[in-house]
Amino acid sequence: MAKRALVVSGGGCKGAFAVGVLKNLAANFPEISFDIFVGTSTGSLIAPFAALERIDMLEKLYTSITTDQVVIRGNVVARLLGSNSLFDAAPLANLIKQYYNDDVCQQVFVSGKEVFFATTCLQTGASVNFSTNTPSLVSDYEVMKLNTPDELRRAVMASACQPVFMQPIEVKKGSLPLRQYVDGGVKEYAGIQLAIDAGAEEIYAIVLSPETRDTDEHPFNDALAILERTIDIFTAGVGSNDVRIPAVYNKTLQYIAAVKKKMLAAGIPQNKIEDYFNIPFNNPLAGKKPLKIYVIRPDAPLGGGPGGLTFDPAEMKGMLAKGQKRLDDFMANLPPEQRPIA
Amino acid sequence: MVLAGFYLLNIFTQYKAITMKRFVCGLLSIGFFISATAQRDPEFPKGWVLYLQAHDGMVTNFTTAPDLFVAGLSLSPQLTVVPGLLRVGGTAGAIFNNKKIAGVFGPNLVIKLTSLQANSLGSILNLQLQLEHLWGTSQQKLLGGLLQSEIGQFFRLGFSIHRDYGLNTWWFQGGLGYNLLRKKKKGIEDPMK
Repeated sequence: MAKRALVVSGGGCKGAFAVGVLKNLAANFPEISFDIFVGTSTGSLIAPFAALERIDMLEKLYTSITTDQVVIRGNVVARLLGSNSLFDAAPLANLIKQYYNDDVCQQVFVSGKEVFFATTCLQTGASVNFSTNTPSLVSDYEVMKLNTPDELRRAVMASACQPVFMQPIEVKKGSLPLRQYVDGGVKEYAGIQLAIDAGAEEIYAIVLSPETRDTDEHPFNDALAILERTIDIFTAGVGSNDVRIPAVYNKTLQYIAAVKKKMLAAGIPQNKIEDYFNIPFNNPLAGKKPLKIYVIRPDAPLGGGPGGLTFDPAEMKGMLAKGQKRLDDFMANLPPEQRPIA
Repeated sequence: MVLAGFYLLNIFTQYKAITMKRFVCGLLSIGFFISATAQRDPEFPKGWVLYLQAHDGMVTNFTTAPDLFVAGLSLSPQLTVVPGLLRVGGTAGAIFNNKKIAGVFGPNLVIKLTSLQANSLGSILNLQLQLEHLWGTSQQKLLGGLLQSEIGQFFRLGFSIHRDYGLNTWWFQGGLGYNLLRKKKKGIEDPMK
């Protein structure tokens, strides 16, 4: 049976938008369930509860927390000289320990769902995805299996920790050689390609930035403001590639399927057609079928401050409502042939 | 906080009609206003600071010449009692004045006046007022204050004015300080532990 994946991108407090989409999905499209979950940054905080279908917990988390419950801001000079990051992420660590206690983690492990947490390794520079299950069919990524609740919590934390702003995390604490991990969004903002490589044929990708570029008309004459803006532009760029590249890949598959169909109509036998396309070379498209990829994203920037690190419950409630509405609009505008398979 | 601000404004625009009740409410509003503002400021975090300070300047009584040179070295342990706003502590040190070395000691109180923020990244420095009373071993009785800037929570510089009401002189000094309890890098931090 075709596997269905949920991909949630990074975006800090903007994860509330994803929770709104999931809340609407659970309420109005209960037939849509997922086998694979891929989270990056805030998406990693969402993925385990989404796998357990605990949208209530996600709603509570994403409509009540404040910035102080995520990071402690300090004196920039003191932190640069005396710490590993500009902010102290200890409150977020406490929140993860509170919400993802041992019971919840065990439920995720035994759920049979494949949950991936996207991180970037500081030592190797590689994209490393941590998985709750023995990963299937993932060859282009470094995938490491999580074995304990503590490792799961650490993987969630590592995926959420924006480098420079928050401390890097050792997921496999004490293992050698030393490996510290940060937000997977450094290299991959939305893990759509990972979901494809993991065998998903139908993908719901919730991307927390709009397709159109966020324009900021005010003059930039302050180095810190320029730094914050650069981070936003960089994140949008990575996110755009994460959506564009799988789309090109999917269009290629659709094109090949159309060519095969035309060849068949022209009287070429099926086995011959397959033979034409079976070139003895490292065929990246071998065994792949055209996919259904649904990208659900806001129409306009959601706010939430630089890096989505301003957690304002009132603003996040608004984002959640926008997510619910966006799914309604998205589903209503889908052509019948592209509607999700129940 | 906004309400407290409005109340504060109201108090000061109608100062002629201040009653005791209004005065107490005003004080509470000021306290609430400062406290609410201070809570969001990373300056004056919880815990201790221990400043080693070097200072020098002059002692004068504005009437007889010449003014006397003064220099000193002191230690000031201070504890933050209201994060983002207030520290209390003491000072003990040695001063060289009038060809003699004397000891000085006494309590102090430091109020954060304002701070400079680096956008949403955090703060950079604060401007603080230290009020203190020092007793000297050569009969000095110094009451005064220091206006100083604390940068990176480990370095202070500023100037001070003290009135020696025991010997009827004024002390004017500039000084530098270094926080001996400054947080130093201790390898890899683990927020998950």
